Amino acid sequence: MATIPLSRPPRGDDGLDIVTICKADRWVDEILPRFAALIDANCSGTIRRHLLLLTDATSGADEGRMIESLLLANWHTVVCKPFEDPYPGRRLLAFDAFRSGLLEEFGLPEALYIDPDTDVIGDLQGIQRTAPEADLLWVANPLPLEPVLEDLRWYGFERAGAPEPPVLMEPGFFYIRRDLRSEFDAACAQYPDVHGFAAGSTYWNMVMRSLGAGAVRLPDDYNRTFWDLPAAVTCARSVHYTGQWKRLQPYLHYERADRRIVIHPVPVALPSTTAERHPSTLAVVALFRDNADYLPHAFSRFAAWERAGLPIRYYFLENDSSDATAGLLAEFMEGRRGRLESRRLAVRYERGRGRENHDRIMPLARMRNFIVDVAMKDPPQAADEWTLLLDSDIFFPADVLSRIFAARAGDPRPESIGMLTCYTQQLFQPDRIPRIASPALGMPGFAVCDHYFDTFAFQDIGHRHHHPFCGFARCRRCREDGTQQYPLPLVPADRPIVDVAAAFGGFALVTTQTLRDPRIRWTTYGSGCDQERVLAEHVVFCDRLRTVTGKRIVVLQSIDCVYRR
Amino acid sequence: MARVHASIHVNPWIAWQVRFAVAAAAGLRAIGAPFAVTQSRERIGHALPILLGTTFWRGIEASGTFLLVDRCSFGSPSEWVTLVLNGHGRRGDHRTPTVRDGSRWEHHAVEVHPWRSPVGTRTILCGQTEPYSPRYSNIESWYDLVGPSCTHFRRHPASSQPLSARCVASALPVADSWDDVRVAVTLNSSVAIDTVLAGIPTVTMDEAAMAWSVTSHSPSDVITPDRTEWLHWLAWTQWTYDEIREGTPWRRFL
Repeated sequence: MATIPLSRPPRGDDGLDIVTICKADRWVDEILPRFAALIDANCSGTIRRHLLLLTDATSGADEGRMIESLLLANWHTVVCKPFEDPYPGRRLLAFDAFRSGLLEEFGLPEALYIDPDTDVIGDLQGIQRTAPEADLLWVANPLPLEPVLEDLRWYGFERAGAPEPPVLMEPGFFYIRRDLRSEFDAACAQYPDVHGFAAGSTYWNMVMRSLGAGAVRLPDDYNRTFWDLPAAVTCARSVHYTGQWKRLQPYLHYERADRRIVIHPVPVALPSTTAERHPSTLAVVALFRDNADYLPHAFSRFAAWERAGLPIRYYFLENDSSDATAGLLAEFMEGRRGRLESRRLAVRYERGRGRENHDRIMPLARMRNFIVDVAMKDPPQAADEWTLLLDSDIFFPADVLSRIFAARAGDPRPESIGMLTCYTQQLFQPDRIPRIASPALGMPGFAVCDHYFDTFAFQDIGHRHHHPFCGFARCRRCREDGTQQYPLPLVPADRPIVDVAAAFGGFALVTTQTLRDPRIRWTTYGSGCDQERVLAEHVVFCDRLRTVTGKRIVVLQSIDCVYRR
Repeated sequence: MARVHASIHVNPWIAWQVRFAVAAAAGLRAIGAPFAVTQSRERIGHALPILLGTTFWRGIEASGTFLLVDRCSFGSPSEWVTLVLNGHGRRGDHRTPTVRDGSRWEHHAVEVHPWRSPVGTRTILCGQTEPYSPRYSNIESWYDLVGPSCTHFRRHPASSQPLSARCVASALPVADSWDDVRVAVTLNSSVAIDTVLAGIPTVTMDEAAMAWSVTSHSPSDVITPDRTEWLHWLAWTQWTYDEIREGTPWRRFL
């Protein structure tokens, strides 16, 4: 029996491996980009896309270009093999045979196989945790394939004359935890005289039935066929196209909220892939002080980005910590690019919520300038590197970079954006905002009310400072505090990308090229003798960035998955 | 179906790795070897991992056989690479032929300068980003060992980390050129090949150094041996992108 060695340790990230098969022909350019883009757009968490690329004598000249385009589209593994048909004359049976041995080909312990002419329009993440004891998870084929049913009855896999027609497995979508090549080959050898109409389907159904309890049926919504009832298709997580319907596939757009399928007169635009949504390299710049309880969160996110292949260099400035912050940072930096600076400030500033004064803001500005100067002395890893300016106690999901750059791609002039910031929400104890609280995703014990936290650094496009209010119409807290009489215009809730004069939000991305200009740094200005009222250092930073580079500062209102504790 | 013979491990965010992967794919196809191109940090079944660069694949290096595609020893990195099996530098196996005539070296036509004479006064300690040696866990511990014997320090062009203030080398004046050099001292950096080709007497102190056989191994020793046999060997450790694309070196390693 062909199985992969059991010595392989399970993957720690609980990602989902999706495999498909394609010949090295026009499908690489016409079908696979849609397949990849829809998976990236609709599946959450870590997804790795794998491809078995079958080559022949005619594909050689174009193969290099195909491999380059697949790599740049972030295919995780592409196995290239010459197409050898072990079942000549039996249409498509070879492809079914390949599917039964995919795990060994890719060295994977388990994987989801999906036909490439499938639109993934819902989240498939989590399928890998279904029925963990089963070798095969399968979906029903809604089409009544009479020749297949006849073969199954003839060879005793189904009882003739049963009151209900048997359910058939759809071999274009299944999850396997061990290779089933030996079972598949055995079925082919033992029953060579099955109908030629869909022999692969017949053999897969024989294998599925022979596994007994080792084969578990998935809910029907995991995969439907476009031939199926339209209502079922609109609710499905993936839709398979067969026969003449394949020609329609590029023109289809799914409006999931309304459960509608819209057929456009021209091929629909594809969502951006993960490759297009990531910066090519990243520098992380952060200040920390007494953040030992926060750092594991940030480290886990950095590690996830590294595992996804993003080259990162780190520049951390730690000051005056009395907990384990310095040690944790030093341990994290071992073997990583960048620099850790630990300093004791000559004059300590005190943290204080609700009041901002020159004695605190100016040291912060100087520290930000110091560590950015350190980072910018090193050459960027790539010309298009971005630098993440991160504050402590900022919580964010692992896919936040993809979300940010996908949002950026939706701007009509993305290249004109000089600084990307998020709609960072303030976390609250639920009992502090009893009437307006909603759960904070991924932050148990906390609630949110759409309140943008960094009101001190925020100035809207008219340079209006809303502090201590947040200036966004969607905020339920500021409205509760008296929005009815609020004298300033609010940012409408339906604007995903908001141009502003200044913002930070504790999680901001600036191109490294921009930060290499030493003029673009932080400082503050007081207000006469009243040093309790000073300008946020980010307001000056943003002003310099805008005026020196001519670029825009934006708050991505749709990126509201970043939280401040 | 035939098993995958080789897996090219590539970081698609790095341009040279994508370019090399495409060339290697053409070469493997030319010799009829099924292969995978992957971002995986793990081995793909029983395939020989072809690792592009030394940064991302340490886990694979530590777990068995691998073929390393490393920076070239001479020529432009956009035209040449080093291929070495199961180790870094000379510590690995370059699968050179037993009998190495000068034809491949002469075909490359790389410039070699006569040994410099008279020798200068500077003993230049050459920095490197990492030690790549089982004897030193960090490069500064080696600097501390040889620093007292050196007069100048030459920073590695790709190094981003400043020397710590405690390191002996941090007190040495920085050398920006090879003027007035008596000897160049390196642990195992490829700078030794540059210096030997430039006719500068060189010290290497780790067996992984590609120039090990034409250098002394103590800063107090200056040697200027015949380089002919070494040059002929070196020519078989370096491969052009055209050769990679045509499949020329792959049979030696698969």
